Amino acid sequence: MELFHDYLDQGIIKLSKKVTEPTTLQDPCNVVRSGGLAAKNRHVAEMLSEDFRPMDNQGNYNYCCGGGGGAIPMGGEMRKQRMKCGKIKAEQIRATGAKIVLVPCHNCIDQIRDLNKEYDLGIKAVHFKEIIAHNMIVPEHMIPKEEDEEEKA
Amino acid sequence: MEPSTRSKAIMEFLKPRVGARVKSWLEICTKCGQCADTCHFYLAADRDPKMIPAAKVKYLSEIIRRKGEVDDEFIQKAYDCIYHECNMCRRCTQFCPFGINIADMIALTRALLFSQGVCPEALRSAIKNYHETGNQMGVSEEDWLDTLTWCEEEMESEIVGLKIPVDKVGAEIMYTINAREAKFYPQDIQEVAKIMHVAGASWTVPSKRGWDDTNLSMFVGDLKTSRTLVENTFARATELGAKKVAITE
Amino acid sequence: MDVLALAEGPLLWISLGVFAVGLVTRAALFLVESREKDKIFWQHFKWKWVLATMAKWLVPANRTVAKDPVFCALAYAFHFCLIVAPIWCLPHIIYWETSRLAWSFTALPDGLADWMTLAVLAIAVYLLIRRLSSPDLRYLSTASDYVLLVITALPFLTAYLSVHQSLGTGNLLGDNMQLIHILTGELMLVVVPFTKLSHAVLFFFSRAATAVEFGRREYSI
Repeated sequence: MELFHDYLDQGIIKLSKKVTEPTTLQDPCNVVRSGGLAAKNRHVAEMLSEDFRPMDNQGNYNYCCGGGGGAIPMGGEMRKQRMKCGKIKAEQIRATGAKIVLVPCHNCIDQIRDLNKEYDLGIKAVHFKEIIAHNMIVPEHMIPKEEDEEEKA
Repeated sequence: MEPSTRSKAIMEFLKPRVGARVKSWLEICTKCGQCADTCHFYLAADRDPKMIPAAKVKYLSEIIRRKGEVDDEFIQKAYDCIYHECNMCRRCTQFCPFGINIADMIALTRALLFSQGVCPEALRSAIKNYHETGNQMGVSEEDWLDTLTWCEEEMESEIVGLKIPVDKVGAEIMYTINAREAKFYPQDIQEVAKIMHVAGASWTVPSKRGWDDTNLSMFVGDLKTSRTLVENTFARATELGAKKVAITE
Repeated sequence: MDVLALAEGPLLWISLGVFAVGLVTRAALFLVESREKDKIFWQHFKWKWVLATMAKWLVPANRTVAKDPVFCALAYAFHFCLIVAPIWCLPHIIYWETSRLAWSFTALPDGLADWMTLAVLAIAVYLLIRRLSSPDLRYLSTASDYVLLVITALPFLTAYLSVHQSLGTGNLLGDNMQLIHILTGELMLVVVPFTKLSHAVLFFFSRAATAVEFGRREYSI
């Protein structure tokens, strides 16, 4: 995440477009509360979005998604409680009106995708890397020539 | 196991681990209740007092008070609380006037239960995978290299000259992933490869143990495994002479 | 030797001794034990984080204040009055002046000391009502939480009654209010090092420990 921040911030990676739909951002505990990356996390989200809408308590004081502390890898035994306690995160997301939730964490993203189904949020949870990989400018010489046929759909 | 043997084992486990901080925390909490509404479990459970962070450490203090003399039923109750009612997110600590670290004490209780052979089954099998293969999903080294190869091949058609450099000595960045990506989300690996390539990064991915940057053993307090996993990753970075280790998001 | 002389003399010195030695011992034990068992705290120790956390929490400059301003305002006022009033009230200073130590320092105006005492009492009542009326706090509280609140409030109640002779004279309570005040004050001093009231010193250590824990992840709490 920090690396992506620096690439975008220093212009090593340039974007051809930003996300137009409203976005919001999750602050994963391990990146933010325990990683000290709150500001960079938000900065990446802002750089990627046209309409960034912070959640309540965005940053160091954000709520856990409910999937932390081993809750996701615990699997089925934790599912019920995980969906219940995730209500707070679901409400936070809903309140922003965002359609895209940027989630720089594998754990959180699984939880937020589950919350989306459970609470009918109508959102898409995506990693930064997905957005960056799609929206960045690929230098001319790296774009394949015609001879590549129709391999890519 | 006889209760008395267990209580001895429990106290032996706790003795070096209940330090000045934990002792003070258990004693000085004034039950002011400020932590209650900082907790998403509490809020989501319609303000159930059982979910107040300060209430969740009662199992630890009770175990200490009873000098480890607790029965299976008690252990089960403690288990339900520390695994199902806390994400160890530490938000409560941020609002505690004394800075009492509830998550630390939950983690200690989890470690205590683990020392007595009690932990979630899914995490137990992940730990088994860590021991056997070095990653939580039990992906063999062969499958791992295979995955990297086809990820690279697929991407070559999209980006000219894209490579996923494996074990490249002297690369600046060693990139590690969550083993779930290798199994379920290979597109994540491809996206990163694309970004790295366009950014012109000097990077590499290790082939041997250490490429999985998750550490699920930490959640149950299996510090021995935890330590091995971190050491694996750092050993790879040292071997490859990487300056930085980047982990997946 | 009558009871008042006993309470004003040896008992007072003993209780002050227990209070002071007790708290210093608690602090020393924390330091010694943490050196051995909380190595992580010392490995990452930086004054920067510790001072920052004190600056936020010794004065109301933290997130909890924003979350619950009423409780926090009262809690800060409670502690302020609780510490300042007994040290700088005139009767206590007179006691020091006439004692062997012959200490002398400027006192608070009587009226102010009175108001501070009443503030401690009023907030103590608020804390009690809060504890009794909130389902959360009732669930968390043990007997000692109630008893310690009463023990803390009693010296202030008896101080006020004694100074103003509110109960008159010619009755057992009224005639002995000063004695009761001294004894309840001594009781409070004695229990501090052995109960949750030890947060008088452990507050600093606990906050420092957590500030270092969060500080090593690069942010100040």
